Amino acid sequence: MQLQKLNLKQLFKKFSGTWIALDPENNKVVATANSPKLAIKKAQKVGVSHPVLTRAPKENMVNILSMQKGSPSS
Amino acid sequence: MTQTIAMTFPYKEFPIQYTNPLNPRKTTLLRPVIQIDFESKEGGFGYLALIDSGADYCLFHGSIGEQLGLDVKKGKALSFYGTSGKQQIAYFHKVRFSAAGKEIEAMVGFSYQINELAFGILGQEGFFDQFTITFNLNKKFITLN
Repeated sequence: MQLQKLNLKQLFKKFSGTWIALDPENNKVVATANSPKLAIKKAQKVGVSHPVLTRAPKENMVNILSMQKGSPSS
Repeated sequence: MTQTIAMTFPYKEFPIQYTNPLNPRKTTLLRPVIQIDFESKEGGFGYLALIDSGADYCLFHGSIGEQLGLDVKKGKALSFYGTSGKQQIAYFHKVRFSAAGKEIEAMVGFSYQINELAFGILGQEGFFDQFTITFNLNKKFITLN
C-alpha cells in the first residue's frame, strides 16, 4: 500500500524531532517515537503491520542536495 | 519480450521555513519523494525517500540501518558533503528494498548525520540505474518505468 497525497506541514510542526509512523491506508499518524524501531513497534501494537516512516526535522530548511563522492576510508 | 509497467507517484508537499526569501508567501514546497519498502525480522515498513539525480548513491538514516539489523558503523565508510558543506560519513551496506513494485539490491550509505532530513535519498547507483524516471512538476507527478 502506497501513501498518496501527503501534506506534512502540520505533522512536522507537531512532531518535530521525532520519527513518525503513518498508516499507508489513510495517511494518519499512528505512532511517534525517537527511533524507527520504537515507532514501528508502537504502530504494530495499534494494528498497522507495515507503517510508513518519515522523520520530522527540527528545522524545515530548503534543500539543495547533492551527495558527492568523497574519500573512502576503511 | 519484456513488458515494463509505468507507475506514477504524486509529488509530496513539505513545509519550509517562513523566512525563505525566495518565496516569502510559500510555506510548503513540492518534492519528488516516494515510499520505498523494506522487510526486516521485526516486520516490514515503508520509508520516504527523495529522488535526487545529483546524488551519486542512495543514502538512508543510520537508525533505518539499525532497524534492518545492520551493524551500521561496520560498513565501508565514505565521506561526503551534504547541504551544510561539512564533511559527513556514510557507512555502506548491501541491502534490499522495493520501489514501484521492483525489488532492488544495492549498496546504500547509512548516516547518523542526516537527522535534519525528513527522508532518505535515492541516487544514481541503486535507483536511477533501475528505472527510467520522468519528473513532471507542473502536473505534480513522477513516473517510474
